[in-house]
Amino acid sequence: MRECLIPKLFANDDDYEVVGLLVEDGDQVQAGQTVIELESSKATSDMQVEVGGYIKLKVRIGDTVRVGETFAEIFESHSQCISSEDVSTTDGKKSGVQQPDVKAHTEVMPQIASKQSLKFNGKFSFTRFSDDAEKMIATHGLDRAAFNGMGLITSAVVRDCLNLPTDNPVANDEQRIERPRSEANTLNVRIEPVSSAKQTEIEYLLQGQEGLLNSALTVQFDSCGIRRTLEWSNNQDETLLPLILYELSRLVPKHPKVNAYWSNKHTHYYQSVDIAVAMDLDEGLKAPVIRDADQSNLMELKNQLNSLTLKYLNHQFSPEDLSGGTLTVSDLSSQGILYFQPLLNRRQSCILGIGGEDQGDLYPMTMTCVFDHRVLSGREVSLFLNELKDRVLKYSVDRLESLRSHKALESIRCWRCSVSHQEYTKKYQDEANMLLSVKPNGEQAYICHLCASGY
Amino acid sequence: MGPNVACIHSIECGIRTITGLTRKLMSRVMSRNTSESAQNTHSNETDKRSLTESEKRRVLHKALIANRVEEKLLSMYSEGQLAGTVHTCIGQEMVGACVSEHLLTQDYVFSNHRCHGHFLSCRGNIDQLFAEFLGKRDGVCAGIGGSQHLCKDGFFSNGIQGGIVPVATGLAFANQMSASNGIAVVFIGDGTLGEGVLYESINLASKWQLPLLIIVENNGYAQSTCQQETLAGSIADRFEAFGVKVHQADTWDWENLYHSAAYVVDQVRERNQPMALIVDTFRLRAHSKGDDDRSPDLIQKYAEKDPLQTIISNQNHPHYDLLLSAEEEIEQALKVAERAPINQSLTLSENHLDIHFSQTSAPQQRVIKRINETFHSIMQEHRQVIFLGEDVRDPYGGAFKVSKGLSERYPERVLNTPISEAAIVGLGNGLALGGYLSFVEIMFGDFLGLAFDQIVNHAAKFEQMYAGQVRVDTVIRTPMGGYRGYGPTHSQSLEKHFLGVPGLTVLAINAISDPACVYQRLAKGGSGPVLLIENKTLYGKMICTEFPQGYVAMISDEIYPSIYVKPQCERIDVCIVAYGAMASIAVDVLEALFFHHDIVTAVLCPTQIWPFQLKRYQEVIANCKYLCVLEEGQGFSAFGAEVIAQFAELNYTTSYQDACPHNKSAHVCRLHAVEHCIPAATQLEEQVLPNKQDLIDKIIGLIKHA
Repeated sequence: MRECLIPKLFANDDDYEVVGLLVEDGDQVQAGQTVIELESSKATSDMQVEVGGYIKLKVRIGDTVRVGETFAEIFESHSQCISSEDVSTTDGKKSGVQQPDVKAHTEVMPQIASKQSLKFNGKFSFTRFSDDAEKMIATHGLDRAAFNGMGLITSAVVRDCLNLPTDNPVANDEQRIERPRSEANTLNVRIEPVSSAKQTEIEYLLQGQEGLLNSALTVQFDSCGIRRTLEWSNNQDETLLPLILYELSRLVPKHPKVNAYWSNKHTHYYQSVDIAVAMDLDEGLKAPVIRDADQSNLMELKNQLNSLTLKYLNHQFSPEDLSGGTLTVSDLSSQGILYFQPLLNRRQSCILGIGGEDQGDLYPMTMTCVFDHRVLSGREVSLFLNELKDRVLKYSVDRLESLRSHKALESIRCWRCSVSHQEYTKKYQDEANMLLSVKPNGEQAYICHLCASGY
Repeated sequence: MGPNVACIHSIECGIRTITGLTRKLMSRVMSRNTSESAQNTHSNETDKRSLTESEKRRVLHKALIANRVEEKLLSMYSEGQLAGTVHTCIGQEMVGACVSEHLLTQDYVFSNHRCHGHFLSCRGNIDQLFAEFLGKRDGVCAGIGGSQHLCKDGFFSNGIQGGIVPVATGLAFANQMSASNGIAVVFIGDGTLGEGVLYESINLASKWQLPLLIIVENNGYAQSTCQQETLAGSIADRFEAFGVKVHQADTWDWENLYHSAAYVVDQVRERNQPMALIVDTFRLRAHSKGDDDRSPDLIQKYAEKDPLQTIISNQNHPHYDLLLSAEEEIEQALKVAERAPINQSLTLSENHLDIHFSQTSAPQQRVIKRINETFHSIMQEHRQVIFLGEDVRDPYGGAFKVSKGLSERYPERVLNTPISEAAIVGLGNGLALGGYLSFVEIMFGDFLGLAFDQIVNHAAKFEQMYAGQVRVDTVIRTPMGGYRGYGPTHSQSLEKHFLGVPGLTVLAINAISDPACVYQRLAKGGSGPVLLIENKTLYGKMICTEFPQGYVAMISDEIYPSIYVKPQCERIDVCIVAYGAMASIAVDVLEALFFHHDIVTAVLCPTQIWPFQLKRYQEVIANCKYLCVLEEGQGFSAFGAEVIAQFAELNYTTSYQDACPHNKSAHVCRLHAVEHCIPAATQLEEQVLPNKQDLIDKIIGLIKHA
């Protein structure tokens, strides 16, 4: 095994940040091959390996490395490379179990902290709950075992897991009344405590505004064409949300900065696309998360949205459901709101607000992106938004080749039973689901669900 | 080991025979016992022979140097060349000149605010004295000491009346312990006879039969106040009451003074016992520069019989050439001093090193047992360590039994002292100057006030004001604090009065870590003067070896290590900073705060509370959202106030902001005793001193109102 060390690249710097990994663990590399990219205060440099072999990286993106530190190990065989895993974690450098000193502890950066802590892979050998934490776990019907190894657990830790952060562990209603008491004496006001759910929401959103550099851009488009496409797919009661989520999740990897956040002079990039969807069905604002949204197809997204809605109504959210969103979408298009600026959430650089107004044929819609200017620029966001708009508009009926070929769009019929679209939907309503299919002769045509299931 | 007074005392009392006592000392003791009565009748057995011309010229030369230097200094002051003050000995020069003739290099000389003559006669460095006044790097004390604070090769002076006498006593003791035949000579004025520490020292020197020579320059005036206004009884009676023999002389018959000095120096050296030489004299110039209300006629009367003025006013005097050569010498010295570079800056030692913590464990033992055992091993290992205090010898073994069994094993180095807090701390200071390291026990911390001057103006000052020529390794240990129902004067925490004294280190042991390392480190020496706080309630406590589950104790790599009780979780709400016994209270509330109040709390317990730099602990502090300082004593201008002030300043440093990105302004609070003297009744004492519930309430209040 050969260790690859960080050389001194620039006279002024001893620390470099890892900004790119060009290989993965276990990859075969050639001598001279560039494997990682480092950034100093001056410039970015490529790091090559001096010998060929199978590589095991000792750094991750975002790590700060010092001159002389090992950034990779090269093994002669693939099996050695893989089996070295255990050895390398016992050296204490990356291990979370050992805590030899306080300094080392404080160096742990909250890279994708919310998600990591959610895995509950606690680094402590014990778990103890405060009384309030116990209560909260009981209230939310959470599994105590989920917190194994997380050490001392206060209600704040539980709140964190539920994505309901607060900085005030003994915050209670009494306190919130105390403050304005003096005002009440002088002003003609009535004072009512803010519910703890609302208070939590306030604190949660406040953190998103901490940077004070939030900005917003909006694109507008007419959605009638898309809606007609949806209608033909027999989705009359449906919003554009699943479609937008689908396109958004696929676009995000192209624009990684919208899936990131700023902290302590560093941009932290999330490695997965976990979209939080703001929901308020009269029981408080919640933002359940669709994990790895970019891995789900449209139908799966739809189903996930439905199941989250059910969970909302049945109070069945688990901590996993409510935490770790990497960006957020808020949809008020069905509320008659054409345009609004949503509030950015903590540890996110971007939130997408969808507005729309049913005002006749055009059905105008807007997509507003509120973004953290510390991470993103106006130009980056305008490119992103326009691309998203273009992708969504591709579903417009006039752009869908398969649909345009039909002479009269209203005259869709099941190619087997010839029932008209109008009659069919009238008869089966919610059950109705006209599917695009391929006829035996190879032509594309619609088929009703009864015919599709073959009687 | 060397001869020792405590042994002598034991022999005299016929209690037991001490082994290790040298034959020489035995004979010395015996001879003193047998010839005591005879000695008292020899009021004046000095050699009355005439001085040879060369002896005369040597003494006069010294005296004239002192006279001319001081006249020069006065004129430099009047010309505005010098700042500060100058206390001249003009009229009294013969005292230093005569006494210094009989001293050996191993003798120590202690002087006072009026020290130039003594210094010049004993050490002779005219250019260095001028350089000192001019603030030059080559000054006796590099310009730091100035007129009143000189130090050179065993010569020490200080500007505190009488304060140097116990230090001289300590050095006399050190001389005796090391069996050198050096003596300690201390010059005081008749004004100093009003100081209590003088009598504490005379008592000690006489009881322990130390080679200390006290020379009283009796000039009849304390600054502007005539002796008749303030002095009761006689000066000689003061010494004789303690069994110290007195010899009298004056500066007008200076040849007699010369012989008297020779006699007393010899007696003190040979008989290893204290003596006093009272020298009647008259100060011909003002106390300081111009503050003289005495009648010119009176001054004139004394000037006329002053041996030096006689020479100065008569060009035909056979010794007038000495005046001229003295003036010439002084001019040369002044030129040397003027050429020397100005001392532009002080050498300050700043310690900004980061502190690292690592996991630790402590032995399962009671604190008192641990300290006692540690002293047993220290006394065995370090032969220069002396244990001093009231009631510290066996079988009593100290009010809190810290020294139990020590005097049985080390009788010559564990000493019961009179109830003289100032003198015994001064004694420790003197022992330190003589190469011994004393652990001085002040029975209750409340009594520190009695030793304040010795700690602040002597122990803490010497190294700095003498420009690093000496170091005073004295450890003043004291049981401190309340919770025992001892009432207003035996329960206080007075350490805050010593925080911020440059040159002093204040330490406090605790029961959440092993105190032994602190004592072991101190016993090695090199620590300088240390005030070591031992909270009374700690003695009976077991050293904490098991912390609540979820909290680990980590120890710092400081010389006197801090303990960080670290919660094991991602977020810490509060950090309690507490030292001494308060650290145990802080640890005791951790679980209640966590379980019942949903608050995760860390405890930072420093051992060194002065000097104290919060920024060294910023890694710890930065982890917490709230900071609470807990202390047992009064809060006003105390440790907590300092920590919070430093914390506020720290908030504006970039290094702290980097360490603490999410929490730039944590909220703070203090918990301390209420502003009342400490009542004796338990239920009242509880209302004054902090307790666990107070701490919990304070922290909840802090978070609620943040």
